[in-house]
Amino acid sequence: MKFLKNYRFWLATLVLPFTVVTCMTIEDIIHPDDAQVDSEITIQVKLKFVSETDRQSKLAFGILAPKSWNIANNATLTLNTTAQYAPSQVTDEPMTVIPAAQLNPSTGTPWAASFQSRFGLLGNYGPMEWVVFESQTDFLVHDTADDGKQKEIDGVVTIKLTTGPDNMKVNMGYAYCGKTYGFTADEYPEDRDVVASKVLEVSGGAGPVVDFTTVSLISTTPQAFGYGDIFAINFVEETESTTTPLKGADKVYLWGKVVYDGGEEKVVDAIDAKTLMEKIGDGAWQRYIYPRDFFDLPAGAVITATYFHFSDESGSIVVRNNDDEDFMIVESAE
Amino acid sequence: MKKVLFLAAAAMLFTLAGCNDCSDRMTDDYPANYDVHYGLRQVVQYDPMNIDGIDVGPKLDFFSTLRFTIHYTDGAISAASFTNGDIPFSPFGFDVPEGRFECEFDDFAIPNELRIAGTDNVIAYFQNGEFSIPFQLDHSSISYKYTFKGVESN
Repeated sequence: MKFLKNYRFWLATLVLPFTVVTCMTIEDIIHPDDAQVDSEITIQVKLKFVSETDRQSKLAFGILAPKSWNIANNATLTLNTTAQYAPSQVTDEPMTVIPAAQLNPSTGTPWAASFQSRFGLLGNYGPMEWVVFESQTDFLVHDTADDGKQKEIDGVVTIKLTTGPDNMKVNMGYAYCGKTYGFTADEYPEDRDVVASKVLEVSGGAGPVVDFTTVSLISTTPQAFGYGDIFAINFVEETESTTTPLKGADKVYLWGKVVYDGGEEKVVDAIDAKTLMEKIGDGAWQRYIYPRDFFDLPAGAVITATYFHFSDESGSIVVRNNDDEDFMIVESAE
Repeated sequence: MKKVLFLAAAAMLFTLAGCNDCSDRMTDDYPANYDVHYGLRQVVQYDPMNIDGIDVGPKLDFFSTLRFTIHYTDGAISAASFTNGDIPFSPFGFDVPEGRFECEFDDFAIPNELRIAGTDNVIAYFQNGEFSIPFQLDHSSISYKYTFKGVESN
């Protein structure tokens, strides 16, 4: 019995340091109060790192932002840190995008893909992308060495980026980990991802607000596509702000119009198997199309626009956009 | 002790019975020249938000019309046939000969490559026991992959 007690003591003594090795947090996110379209804005993200063992790694810092902002090419990041340990103090250190060829060691996938897979879109329903940056400094941390001076680092990542021409409302996302370790269990909290998001609103543009934070009546899968791809038109009967007359419909059909070759038009207006949408959830419908096939276009036709609306089997109940116009679906820029 | 001896004898008999023919040659009653016909098992679409891919094959009827046949001569791949069916695009960036065409199977390449004979044009890759054809259509962030299943000849 005495042995059992000793065994438990030593087991606890040995296991504890390996299960609580770091405490990484995002302390604060500071967004501009009045972000304008087509303008440079500054965002600050405050980080805190407290080591419970010894580790050495660069910082891998990911940002979730609208794909159209192309922050991989349009954002500049600088890192400032404060620490008792002098080598961990950096001032205005530029952070760079981790090249696509480098893989997150814990997932074996490119860094952006690993953040997308782990953290998702953080409540966004529009085209967003993760871009992951790295520090230049290889930070050395230790819980006890140098009288504990290597134990803590406080950091501020300052992000300068240029917004797009659209009024927008998005959940900006931020996450980080050690680049050497990725999401390895001992170095990363298994039960609590180091990720945070905050709503950013951009105004001053001419059009309506593009709101990624709520479900849209219509969307596509994938979010970014070309007219020469296979993609799905998704329709939901109801959102937080809108209930359509198709709510509760047994069947939903897709009506489509294409504009091609400099102004030619073709319409698919039929109630049949080709236009019948698949029910993929409660009040959610989907139809995959390959546009050239769906609209029966000649080979080599160049599509410039597509329009869709939705109807019930009788064709008497029709859902268009708020202006009673057909929904326009536009291919994504490269 | 008797029980141990009995079990040892039984194991030896079982082992010997399993060593009827350890060569990798086909038995005489297996045809050396034959065809294997394939249809599409999956059409997986990959994009940055769906890195594990979505099988869009069942979503569009025309995918069921594709046929891919591997022809074996003397037990080795010698030729192939590829019929795109009603699919309105080709997964290849080159013209595939109509009907049966000669092929080379490169099992030194990783993954193994099935090429049109005398060219660098890869018809399909072979890895983990199955053929596949990767391709792109339009947007650079989207890629696709055909995988195959055996079907009856028609």
